Amino acid sequence: MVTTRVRHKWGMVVDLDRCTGCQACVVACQAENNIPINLEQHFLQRRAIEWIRIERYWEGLEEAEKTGDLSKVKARFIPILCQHCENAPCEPVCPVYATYHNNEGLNVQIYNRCIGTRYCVNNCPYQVRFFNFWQPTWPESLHNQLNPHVTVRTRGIMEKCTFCVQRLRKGGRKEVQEGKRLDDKEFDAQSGMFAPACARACPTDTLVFGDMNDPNSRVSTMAKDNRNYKLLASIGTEPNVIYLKKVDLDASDAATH
Amino acid sequence: MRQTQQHTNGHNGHHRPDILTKTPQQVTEEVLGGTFRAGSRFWLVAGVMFALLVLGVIGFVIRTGDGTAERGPWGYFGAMLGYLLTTAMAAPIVAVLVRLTKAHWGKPIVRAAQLWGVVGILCMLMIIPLLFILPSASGRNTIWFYDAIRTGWPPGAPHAWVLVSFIGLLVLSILLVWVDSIPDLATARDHAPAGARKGWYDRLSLGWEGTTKQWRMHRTALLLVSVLYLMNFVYVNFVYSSDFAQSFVPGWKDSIFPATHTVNGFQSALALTIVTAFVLRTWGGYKDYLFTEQFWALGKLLLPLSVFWFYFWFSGFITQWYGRSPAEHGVLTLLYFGPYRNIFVTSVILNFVLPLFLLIQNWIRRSILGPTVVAVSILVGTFLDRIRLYNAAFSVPNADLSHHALTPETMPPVNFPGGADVLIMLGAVGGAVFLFMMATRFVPVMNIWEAKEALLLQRIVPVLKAQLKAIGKPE
Amino acid sequence: MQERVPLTEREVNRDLLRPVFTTPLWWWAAVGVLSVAVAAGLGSALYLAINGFGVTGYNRPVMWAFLLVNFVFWVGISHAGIMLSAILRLTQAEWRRPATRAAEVLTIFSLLTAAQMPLWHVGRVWRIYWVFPYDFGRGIWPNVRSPLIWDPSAIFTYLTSTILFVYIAMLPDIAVIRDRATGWRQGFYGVLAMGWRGTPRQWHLQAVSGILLSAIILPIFVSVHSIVSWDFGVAVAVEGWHATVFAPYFVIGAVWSGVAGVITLMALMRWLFKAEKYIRAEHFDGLGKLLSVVGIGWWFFTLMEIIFSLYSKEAAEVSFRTLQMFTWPYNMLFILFFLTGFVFPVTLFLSRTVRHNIAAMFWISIFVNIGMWLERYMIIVPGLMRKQGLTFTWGSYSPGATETILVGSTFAMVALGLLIFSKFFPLIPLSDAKEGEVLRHEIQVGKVKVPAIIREA
Repeated sequence: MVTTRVRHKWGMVVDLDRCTGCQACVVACQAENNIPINLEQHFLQRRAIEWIRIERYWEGLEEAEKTGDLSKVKARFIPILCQHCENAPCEPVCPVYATYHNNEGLNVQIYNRCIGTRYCVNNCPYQVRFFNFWQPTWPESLHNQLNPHVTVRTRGIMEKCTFCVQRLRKGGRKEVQEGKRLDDKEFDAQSGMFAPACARACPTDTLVFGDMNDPNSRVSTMAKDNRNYKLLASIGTEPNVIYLKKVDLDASDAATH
Repeated sequence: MRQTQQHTNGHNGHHRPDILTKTPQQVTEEVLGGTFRAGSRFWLVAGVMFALLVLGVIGFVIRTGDGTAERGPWGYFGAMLGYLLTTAMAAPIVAVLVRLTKAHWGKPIVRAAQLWGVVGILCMLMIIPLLFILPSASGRNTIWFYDAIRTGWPPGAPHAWVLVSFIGLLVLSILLVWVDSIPDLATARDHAPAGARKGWYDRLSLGWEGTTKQWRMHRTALLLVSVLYLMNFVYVNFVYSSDFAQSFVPGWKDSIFPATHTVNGFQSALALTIVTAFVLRTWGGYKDYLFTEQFWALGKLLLPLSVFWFYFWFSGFITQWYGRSPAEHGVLTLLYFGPYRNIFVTSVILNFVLPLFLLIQNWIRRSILGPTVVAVSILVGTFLDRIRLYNAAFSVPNADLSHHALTPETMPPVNFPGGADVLIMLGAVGGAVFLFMMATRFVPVMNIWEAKEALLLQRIVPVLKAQLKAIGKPE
Repeated sequence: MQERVPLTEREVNRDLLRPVFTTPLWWWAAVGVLSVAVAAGLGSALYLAINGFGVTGYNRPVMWAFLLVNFVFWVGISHAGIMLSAILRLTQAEWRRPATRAAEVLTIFSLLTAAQMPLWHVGRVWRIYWVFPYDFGRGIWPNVRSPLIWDPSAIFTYLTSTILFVYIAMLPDIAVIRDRATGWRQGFYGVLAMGWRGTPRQWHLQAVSGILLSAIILPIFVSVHSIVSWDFGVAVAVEGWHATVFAPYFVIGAVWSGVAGVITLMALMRWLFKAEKYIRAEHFDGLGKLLSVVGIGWWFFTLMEIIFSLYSKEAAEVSFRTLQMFTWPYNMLFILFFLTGFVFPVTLFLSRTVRHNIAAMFWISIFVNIGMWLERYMIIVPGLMRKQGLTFTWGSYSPGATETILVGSTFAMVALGLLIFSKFFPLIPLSDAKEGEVLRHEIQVGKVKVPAIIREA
């Protein structure tokens, strides 16, 4: 559908000040997107598939281990998912165009086209692309749990966060029918659930999703917060995921990764 | 195989290969005659070059008025030193490589190429003011990993190490000329009329008599100095291109750049050698020593090195282009697409496109004029290229040195040459040529001992119906 | 040391064609053993294709490992052929003569082996043809921006031109075999010889096409390993790979390991085919001198890579280098790499005594290639283990049995290919050896006779 209207540019703001590291987003993503069950051995082999993961860092652990006083150690959490970079390093290196940038700001993976060279994962600085080392299987009891709107991926291909594109499609169809652009609220109402599973599952409202092209949307407003930063900004990937720094009253200077 | 010879025959008819056909006595007389006496034309050119050198000194004095706080005004001065490093100081490399590969065609040109090493004196003088404008190593990118706060190691970085490399360059270049020419200095000693000149020949030839032992020592010493010169040349290029170009530009992290600088040096060295050989043949009276063979062989080498010019540039460029990070984007804009685009495109044409399309044709390679024209194009192209590189690097102000990347706001404008810059450029080129010309007054510009060696080891032999050249390969 | 003896054409034919017309027992034994090894390798490749990458040691940060290391290694080895044949042919280096054919054939078989590695390395082998620009029904073409498209293009161009190069250079030799063969072999070589009769016109065409192919193949030769290096160099996300020096660094490293591979091969040929009269100490001497220069040049690029990775003091680079050089077990591998890849070979190649000792040259050349295999490993695997500063995703890699067997068997693949080739065609070019005899000359200088060579131009 070719129209002249301004496209959406989907983005997310991650307010690290609110993240408690509860992993609800990880579980929600797992359930929504038919991600294979990660067994303990998958984690040990470093082959687990988590489209969103909570990275946990200990601050001050080294000094604390020397002194024996662990009371000053701080746990830092950062949810990392595909940053849907505007200037994505993973895209130009795929020999078969299995990954590209669509006109709504999403970095899209085409499962059918992927041949599994794994170049994209090497060239992803955030490590958010996952390779299917095995054919995914689910126990009989979970077969009815699989989401019918999401493809089950086969062995030997890459997969990654889609910003739950299956949810966005609903609102998109409505827009096409009505011939006008919907703002985040209308879009949410039309699609039933417009934000990705992780954002909806987050109990502390850490993950906020919406249209970056709409100056009045919640994400756009939050992205302008003076705590904002982009992950590994020096690489120049221009992510569509904006992080808001944690407020730490003890810290003398800004603690970012 | 017989058939291949017939094919050669068919191409060349009964052409007899060019070969030095003098007697050893004639070689000695002619070469020494040219060294002891020079015509008025020589002195006229030398005078003009000296005048240019004086102008350059005036330009330098004007420049010192700008002080050493900022590097911007010194861009052309730095570029000229870079240019001398990649041309005059690189020329001895041709001699070194010819010696190491025992290329028989190179014998008549090695001395001329080596004599350019005397420009090391000028380089040494030029690096001294540049040491003052080189900022401290701490707080910016530097190849010396200098960390003033934690280790203070290596001591004196970067200034001391730059100085060491240039002292090495000067000492080795003079040593190379000297060691190589000892047998010829002895010949000159034996033939020179009594006087101060003869005394110097006597002192510098170290009692050379041409015994087997002396020849063996000479060969070893020459090999050693040659290899040391080559290594030091690579080191100087590494230090100068990194400390005086790369580390001045925020975000410029380019591991191929010193190698590119060195390879540009090899290319310009060949070009300068060709031009020198052309001048010697046309105006220097060495028509019977330099043949098409020398120009053909040098042209053959110049072709791959011109392709390398592009290859090394492209290898660096494609990597940064694909990187697309803000730092790399800033560097590419500064060096190639922004203020210096036109000068860059011109140097690509002069250093790569023109040489490639001319030298790829054998009839152009196998001539005297063809390689010379290409060589001039390369010398001009390298001149422009050095001006682009060093001016771009020098024009970044001190305040921006610690930035992560160049942004459109901090992108420095083009540094157009002022009057003093023009004088400096003329002075550097004129000074280099003047030094070379003065050196040819003392050291024979044609290698007497190697010319005689060629007389022994090169013969024309009949093979079937053709006359071909046979080259002796001792041991 | 073997003195050089004048040879007649009859002797040359008899000596160099012996491996083609007689089959010693060791040949059958070697072919048998190597076939088993190759079968094991292909078996593990099939096992990998059927079961997926779960059976290997690959994991999340280290998505490219053993097979890709081996790919770069064999592409590197393949550079010897053209290095020797084309460059030395153009520069008329006399000592190239017995080495050219072996080097070229080594190129062919190592390229064929190398090309297999990315094949087994993709997740869905059965879809690998999508990287070729064929007329796909949906109108999707390969992504020409990806180095993985440049790779197959470069490698297949290189393979094609090398086969052409070998074939054209071999025509006169094939004709010699045709004239001596009987039965089906006569027909086989008759077809291959394309009616070669040694007329002046044929020689002219053969010489011209040899020179032209040399000149055309040289840019291809440089481009192949440059492109392989850009597989890594353009990857901005891996700090340790994103270095501008990679292209010439990989090319000169390839020449370093490839020419060492030719030395290994020449020593084996000298011993197995009893070719002492043809492969002499002077040839090892020439190769050794060449290699000492190449080795030092290669080390210069290595130093540039290391210095400029630390130059901007970025945390990710520093942690990568710390892992690569100072952390167990990579520190031991690094020391091994430094010693076998640089220190031993370069210092030993500088000694004339060593260069004339063929057994020593054989072992040193093997050292070089141990070092060069490790070099690729030290770039690829630790590079991926410390991609960026997000320490949570750092990981490690240890090879699984599947890829180890496959990698091991690639050596058998190349050896088997060479052995079978030597059964059909002489590995030392007859025509080149004869040409060398014709161009030999002596010059009387004073009281001694100096060996000389006649130049055609």
